Amino acid sequence: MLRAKIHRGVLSAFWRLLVCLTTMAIPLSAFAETAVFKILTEDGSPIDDAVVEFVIPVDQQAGLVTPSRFNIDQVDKEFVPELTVLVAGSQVGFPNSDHILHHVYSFSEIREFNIPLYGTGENDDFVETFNVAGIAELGCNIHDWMLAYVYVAETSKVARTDAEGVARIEMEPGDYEVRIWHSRISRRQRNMLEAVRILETTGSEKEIVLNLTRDRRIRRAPSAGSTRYR
Amino acid sequence: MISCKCYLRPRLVIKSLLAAIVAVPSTAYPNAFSELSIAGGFEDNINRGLDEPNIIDSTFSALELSGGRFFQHGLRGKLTVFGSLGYDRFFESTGFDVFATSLGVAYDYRMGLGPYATTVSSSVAFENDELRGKGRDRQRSLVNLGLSKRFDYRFSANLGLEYLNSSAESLGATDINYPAGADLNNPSSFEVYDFEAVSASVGFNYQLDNEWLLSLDYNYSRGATVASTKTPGFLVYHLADAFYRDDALGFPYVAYQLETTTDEWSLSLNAPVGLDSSLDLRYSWQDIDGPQQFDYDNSSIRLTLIHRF
Repeated sequence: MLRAKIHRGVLSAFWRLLVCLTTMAIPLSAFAETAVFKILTEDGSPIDDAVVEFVIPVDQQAGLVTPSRFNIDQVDKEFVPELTVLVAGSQVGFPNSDHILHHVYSFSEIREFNIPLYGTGENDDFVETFNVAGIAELGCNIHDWMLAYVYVAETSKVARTDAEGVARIEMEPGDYEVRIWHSRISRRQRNMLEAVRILETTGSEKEIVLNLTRDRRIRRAPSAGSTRYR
Repeated sequence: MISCKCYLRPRLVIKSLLAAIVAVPSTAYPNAFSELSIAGGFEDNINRGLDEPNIIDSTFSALELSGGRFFQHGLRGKLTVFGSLGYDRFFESTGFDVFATSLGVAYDYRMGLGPYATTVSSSVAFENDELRGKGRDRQRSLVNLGLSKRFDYRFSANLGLEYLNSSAESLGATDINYPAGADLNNPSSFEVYDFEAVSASVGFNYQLDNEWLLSLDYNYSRGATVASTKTPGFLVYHLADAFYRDDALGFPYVAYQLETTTDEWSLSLNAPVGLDSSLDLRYSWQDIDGPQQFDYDNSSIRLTLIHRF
C-alpha cells in the first residue's frame, strides 16, 4: 500500500515536472494577446499613418530588436512611402524611379545624411543605417515640397495605423506604456505616453485622441513669374 | 539720358552659352524643366498716353513656353540655361502684338540645404521683341542679382536688382507731323527703345491654409519710358530723347522716349490646380513720373494658367 502511494506520488510529480518543462519551452508569443489601438481626431475621424510603440525596458528588449531592409523611392517628385516605420539597426535604400534627378538629405538628430544628385538606376546599392531610435525627416534639395518621415523604433513592438486608424500589436499580458506619434501631432502631445493594460485572452482595445496641427507643407504648384511691362 | 547701341548678336550669344555649358565642372548634373502659361487680361494704357484722347486700352491674351536645363554644381550651386517663346495679342490694338524670345543663363547659390536656406541668384538674359514695324522692335540685355529667403512653410521674401540695356535697330527719318518750332535739321534720335535702366524690387509671398499663394511685389525703376501721342507738341519734342512714328498705332501717332522713374505695384493670388498647375490672378499698377507734367498711369489685370511639366 505504501509502495503504491509512493509510486503514485512519484508519477504525479513526474507529470507535473514534464508539464512545467514543456510550458517553459513554448515561446512567450504563444501567450501574447492582441493590443488594438484606434487613433482618432477630436471629431472622431480615424487617423492613418500614426505610430504606436510599446515602451520596453532595455533589459527586456532581447529578441525584440529585428532590423530589416527598406526602400524609400522617389516617384513623380514625391517620396514613396511618406512614412517608414522600422526597428533600430535597419537599413534604408533610396532608389530614384523618376526621370529627373533628386538630392535627398536629412538634418535630423538621429541621422544626418546627404545624397547628392542622382538619377534612375544610380545609387541602387547605397543604404543608410538608422541605429538610433527617434524620428528622421527627409527632404529633397531640388524639390522643396518633398517630405518623408522615418520612425525608428527601439523594438519590433510597433505598428502604424491603417486607413481606419487602427494599429494591432501582439504583446504579452501586463501593464505597459505606449508611445504615440504622428507627423502632425500637436506640440502638447509630442512626447505623450499612454498607459495600457493587456489582459489574458481578451487583449486590449484602446481609443486615443490626437490633436493634429495643419499640414505645414510647402506647396508644389508653380507660381507665376513676374510679368513686367515690355 | 545716355543712349547706347548694343545690338543683339544671336550667334555670339549662342556660342557664349554653349561655352558656359561646356565649362561647367564635371561634378555638375543636369535636370530639364519646362513650363507653359496661357493668360488673358486687360491693360488700360498700353501705349502710355498722357491724357484721355491719347490713351489706348485693350484686352489681351498671352502664350508663353519656357524651359531649360539646370546643372547642379556641388551641393549648393546651380547653373541654369533657360529660354522662352511667347506671343502677346492685343485685341483692340493689334499693332502691339508682340512675338518675344529670350535666352539666358543663371547661377544660384543656396547657403545650406533645404527650403529654408537663403539663396543668392544672378542671371544674364537677352530678350527680343518683334512688333509690327521697326519702330517698336527692341532687344534687351538684362543683368539680375537677387536674394530670396523662405522663413517658414507659409512666408517667403525676395529682393532684386536689375540693370537693363534696351536697344533698337537704326531708324531713319519718317513721316511725322513735327510740331511747330522743331529743328528738323537737328532732329532728336529716332530709336525710342535705346535706353538704360536700373531697378530694385522686393516681393513677399504668403501661403494660405488652402495652399493658395498671396503675393505682393514692388519695383522701382529709373530709366526711360516709351509713350505715344497723336498730337505731338513742341514741349514733348523738346523733352524727348527720341522721337519716331508709332508703327503700332499708325499715323498720326508718334512714339517718344522720356527719362522717367516708375513705381510698380503688383498683387496676385495663385491657386493650385492639381499637382503641377496653378491659376494666377494678378493686378498691377504703374505710376510713371516724367519731366514736368508728363506723368503716366497704367494698370492691368491678368489671369494666367500655368502648367509645369
